[in-house]
Amino acid sequence: MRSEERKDIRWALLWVGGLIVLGVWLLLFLNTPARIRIQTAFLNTLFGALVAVVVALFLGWGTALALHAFERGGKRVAYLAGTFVLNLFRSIPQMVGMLVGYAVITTLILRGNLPSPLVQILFTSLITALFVFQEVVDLIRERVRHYEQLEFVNALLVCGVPPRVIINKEILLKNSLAHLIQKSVSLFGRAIFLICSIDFIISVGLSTEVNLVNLPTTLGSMLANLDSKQDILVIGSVLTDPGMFGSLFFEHLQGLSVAFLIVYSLLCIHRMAGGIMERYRL
Amino acid sequence: MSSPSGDPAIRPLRRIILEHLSAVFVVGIVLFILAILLMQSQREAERLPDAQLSRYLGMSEIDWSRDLHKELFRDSYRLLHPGNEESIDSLMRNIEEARIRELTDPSRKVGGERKTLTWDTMVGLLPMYAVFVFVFLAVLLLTYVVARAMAIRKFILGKQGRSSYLLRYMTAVRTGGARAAVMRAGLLAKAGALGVAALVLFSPAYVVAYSLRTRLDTENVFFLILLAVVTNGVLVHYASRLFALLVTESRKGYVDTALVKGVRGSYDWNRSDGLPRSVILTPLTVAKGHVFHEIYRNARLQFIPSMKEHVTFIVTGLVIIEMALNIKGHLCYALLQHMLFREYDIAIVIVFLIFVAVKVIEACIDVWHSFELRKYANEK
Repeated sequence: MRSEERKDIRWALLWVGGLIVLGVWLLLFLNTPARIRIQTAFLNTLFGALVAVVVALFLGWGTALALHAFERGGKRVAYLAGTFVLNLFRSIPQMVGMLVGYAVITTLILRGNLPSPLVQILFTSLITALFVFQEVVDLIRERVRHYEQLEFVNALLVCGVPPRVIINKEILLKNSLAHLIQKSVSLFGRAIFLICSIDFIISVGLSTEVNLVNLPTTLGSMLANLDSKQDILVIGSVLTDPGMFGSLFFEHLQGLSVAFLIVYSLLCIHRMAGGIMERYRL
Repeated sequence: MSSPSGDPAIRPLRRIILEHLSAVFVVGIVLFILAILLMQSQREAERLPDAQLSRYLGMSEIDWSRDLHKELFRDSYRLLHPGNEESIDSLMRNIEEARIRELTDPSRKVGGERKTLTWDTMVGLLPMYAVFVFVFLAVLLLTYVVARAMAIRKFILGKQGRSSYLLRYMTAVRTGGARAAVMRAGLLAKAGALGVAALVLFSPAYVVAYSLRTRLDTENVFFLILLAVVTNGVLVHYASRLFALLVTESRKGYVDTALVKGVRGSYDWNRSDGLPRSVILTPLTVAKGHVFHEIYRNARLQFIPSMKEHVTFIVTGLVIIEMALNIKGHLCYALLQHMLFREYDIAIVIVFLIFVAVKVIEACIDVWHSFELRKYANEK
């Protein structure tokens, strides 16, 4: 296999390698409390994004199968209602939807319905998943439609294989796994972006509410921290005063590391998704 | 050229408009109900703690700012409710929080009362909405042109067999040794510049904006447009989609048939059978007679509906920028402020206005797609 065809693995290794290098650098030059906060924020972000992807996959799979069943079963009203709701979610800008979701989370936390940080992360991930799962539905429906046009499905039906096994095992598991993995990786990047952005906005714009609603730290809320923002502002100063460049890596490490973690992760994950696409010619 | 004639995707104009109007109607109802629920819950949350604490806060003999009075209250409470130290601490904390709220809550200050949805509030939102729509359209147009150029350039360079600058540099070093490492350092510099550009393209807007905040006026509308186009990964995702479609189309059988029949197929720049560099910006006009023209037309046809996804993504980017940078006088900043002061009725009207803008653009994209499909189906 040519190295051009192993882009996904190369970018995965680059990502992990970059994280290890950053970890060692922080171990050497950043104070322990800040380093622990960055670690926690990074892990919370990854965990939240991972949960969002898993929920999106299940939600997408269930919705796609339901729509397929409505379409094939001649339940036109149910099918039209299903597609209508799906398109509705598609039309809501993710950030706007997540802000409305945040208003709901705030209310639930204030009422004491979401007591632990874990439940809060899970709930935020659920809301994130609600605004990205449509891509999974599209993918699964496209794969099923593609195979239905081939003799493959008819042959299996004649052999007595039930339709649900054909879809789940033969089409999705055996012939669309690469597509699903590629979509999961791509959604993982999207979820990280959305989680970081919503937390940044909430932490910057709604900072007076922190006493009332303390959501678990993520890279977004960490970046909105005053120290981190000061560190980011220094990047602009380097443009006019290049002499400050060196200080970025020692004196302004917290903000710079958090920004780097977000941007570098997004870049590597996007390249991984692209690499999988190229490798399997999806 | 493959023709999508008889495609079920061809929908009558009336049906497209009806679908979008009904979506606006349903979302309007859902948001209306949500606004009522949130406002109700907010009123309860405000009322509940005050009712419990008001009898203590209302005791005229106690000055709650004096530590002595607080300790006297604590001792008296302990005598009346013995054996439950935690509940005394909790009560004291709640009283302190209620007092802080009295002093800091903007809604309890003169002139800072909660705004409610009135005709004047609605009219006040309109100029902000006009600016939002202008920025949205400008970003949409610019991203379309730039992402298309990026995708076409990448596709053609791939067809020319060009590898990345870094790979070319490494190959040069492998074959030419140390001398080549110095001579071809330009390739390394280009790879570095591209790496930095990639980091900017993938950066969330707030990272770039904050890093430039001390040097530029980040509240300028044109900076806002530039930021929305360049950051948040908008361009990369947009371009990747079109690039993937171009690659998929180029693998189809009709391309080989066209080449066998003598249609121009070289991807070299500025050769008689190749493509001019201007194809990056005007693919439909300058590529006529070249197989790329057909590849692009078919890819574009599939690209048009996927633009709807990008529309919502662009709005997400705009919301992030306006909110994260706290750009005063902009719609999303106002949305954030109304959420902060828990004026959910106004916040939900803004959400609805944003949704309407998205829906109008989506309807336009659907009409455009339907029009293009009809051309292929020879209906027009």
